[in-house]
Amino acid sequence: MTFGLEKIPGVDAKDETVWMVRAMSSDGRCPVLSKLREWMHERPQDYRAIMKVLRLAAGQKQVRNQKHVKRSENPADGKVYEALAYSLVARVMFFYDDRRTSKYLICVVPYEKGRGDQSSVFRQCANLRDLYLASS
Amino acid sequence: MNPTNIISRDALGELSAFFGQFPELTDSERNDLELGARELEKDPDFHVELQKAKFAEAMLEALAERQESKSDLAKRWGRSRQYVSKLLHAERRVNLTVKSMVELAFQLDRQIEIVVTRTSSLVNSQVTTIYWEEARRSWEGTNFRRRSEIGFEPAFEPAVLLRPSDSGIAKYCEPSEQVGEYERFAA
Repeated sequence: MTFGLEKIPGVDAKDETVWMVRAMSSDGRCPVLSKLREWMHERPQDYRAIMKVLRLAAGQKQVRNQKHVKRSENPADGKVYEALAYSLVARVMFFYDDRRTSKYLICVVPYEKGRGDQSSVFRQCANLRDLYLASS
Repeated sequence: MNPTNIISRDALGELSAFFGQFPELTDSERNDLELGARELEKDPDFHVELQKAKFAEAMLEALAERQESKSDLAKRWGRSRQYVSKLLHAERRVNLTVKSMVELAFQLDRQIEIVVTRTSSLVNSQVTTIYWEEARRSWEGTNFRRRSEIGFEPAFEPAVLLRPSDSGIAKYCEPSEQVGEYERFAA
């Protein structure tokens, strides 16, 4: 698998004072951008709420408000997080990459509350993080 | 890199299948996303929610720095815990006013600066608020300073420069061009 990082339209340098927010893609496929576009049309409130959280997180070393960002409760996952559209269904799992001068917040897996198993989505995010960190 | 040295073969198969569910985005779909983002940028209600969230984060950080609980803050301030909690979590039902923001900030050894930027500006108002004092001090006796020289490392390149000017108007410049300006008001 080869990975790419894509800019998320609407999150730009003005917001990215701490982290550059990017969506992970593999071989041209980008689940986060695809889902954001779907939410934009079919769940506009979720889209707005997630974009708010991503823009907020771009400027915070760490988001403290658990209405917006929560860390996986499974210690085996390590530091993987979910951005939440609070009281709505949209979620985006992400991790941070601060190994270089340019620091990244990397959105990996979109998720909708109530559809599927959240803990396995966190696990998926952790696996992708491990692969990404090992390959870059 | 051999991926199966990092995760199991099964997990690798699941991840490949996961990406395979999503078709490649076409140019037109990417444009669609760009347009949606631009529409959001023009929506004042969206910015209200974003700024409230940023304010709440700054206050939560201040609270953590003081190693104080919300209950202790509420008691010290003479407000109910519920009210404090709603402010600190930027709940929709709470009508944040300049008064309530300034009062809360004062309780947490913070001040509020209202920074007005042009809508086209690349300047982040939160950064300018937080780093205003450091920036002001760094201007003394010099014309240009990199943000990194005043204790702030930008996450993006090229480094943006701070340029002082007269009468409380400061300008942010990239190495060769001005990208925005703002005025400072005391709340």
